[in-house]
Amino acid sequence: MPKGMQPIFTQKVNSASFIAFNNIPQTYTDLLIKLSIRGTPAAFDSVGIIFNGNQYSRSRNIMQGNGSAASSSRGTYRDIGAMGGTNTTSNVYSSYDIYIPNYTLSIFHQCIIDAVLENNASEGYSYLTSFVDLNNFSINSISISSSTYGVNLGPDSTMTLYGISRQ
Amino acid sequence: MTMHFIATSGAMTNGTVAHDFNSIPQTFQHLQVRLTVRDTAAFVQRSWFLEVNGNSPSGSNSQHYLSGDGSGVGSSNAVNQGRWGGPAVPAASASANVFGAYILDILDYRDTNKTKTFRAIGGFDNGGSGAVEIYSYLYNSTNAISSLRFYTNQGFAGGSRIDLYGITSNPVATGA
Repeated sequence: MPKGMQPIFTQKVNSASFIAFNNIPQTYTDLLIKLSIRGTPAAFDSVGIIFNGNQYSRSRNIMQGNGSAASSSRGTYRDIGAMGGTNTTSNVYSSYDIYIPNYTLSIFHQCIIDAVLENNASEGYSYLTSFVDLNNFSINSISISSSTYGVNLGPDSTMTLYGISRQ
Repeated sequence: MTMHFIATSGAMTNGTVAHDFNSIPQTFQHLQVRLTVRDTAAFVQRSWFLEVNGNSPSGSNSQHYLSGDGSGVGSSNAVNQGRWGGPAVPAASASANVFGAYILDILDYRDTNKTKTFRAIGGFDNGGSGAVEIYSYLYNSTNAISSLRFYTNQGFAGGSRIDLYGITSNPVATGA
């Protein structure tokens, strides 16, 4: 296994409500996701993350700016940030880095996310998010969706999964 | 190897007005820029700026940020901008040898179905002042990005450096 960061797989959405990676190889130390994502409704929508299909026992802490004020909140949801839809500037996609260390270990999985939702308007979002999955399993699948299940992601949304090896 | 070195400013000489990355290869999935910079203006803190594809300071681009300065946090925006201007950089009145550090990601920089979102995280500490920020910029064009121009209010301080990397997405055969 080469040291450093290696691409595992890239998904591009044409017409789907989620992006999923299954059978993630258990041969790296950490994972990194680079996500370029947009929604289809005429509203802001949350971006959610699910490990191994499990939607229980998780928590997240978000610090955000909306273009005019900063705030912070904690919840037991899957959302880690937001994306714009047709209410935002045409063809603009939110940009995410999602870092998932020690994903092969059977431990609580702590993730760090930095993300932005751009928009040529005063309302746009910046996020620093910590997310923890409290299920004590190794991660072998990851799904990204809107928080509104069944709503399609914008076409050309892309997600690349990278593996990071220290040895 | 995923992350490939493309070009660097090297250690700039004091007062360097700008650094250009031209003819950026169109062979990667994403770009990443790493900046270690300082301004020569007679202030503690100024900003660094970016123009994309030769865009002059007029246009329909925008920027947003979330920032903390050691005593509070804030968020702000600017719309209908031509250039990206705002990420904090230490300047000539800051402590000697203090440089700001930023990592800037540009996802899908050559995708002509997308406008281009820039996402930077970074800042500096000056032992009593400074800022930590996540900063974004919308280059409101679907054109592929072929050039980037970085500059500050008055000129880069000696030793400032900007490096450009390309990040691939070619999959390996893992079954994922």
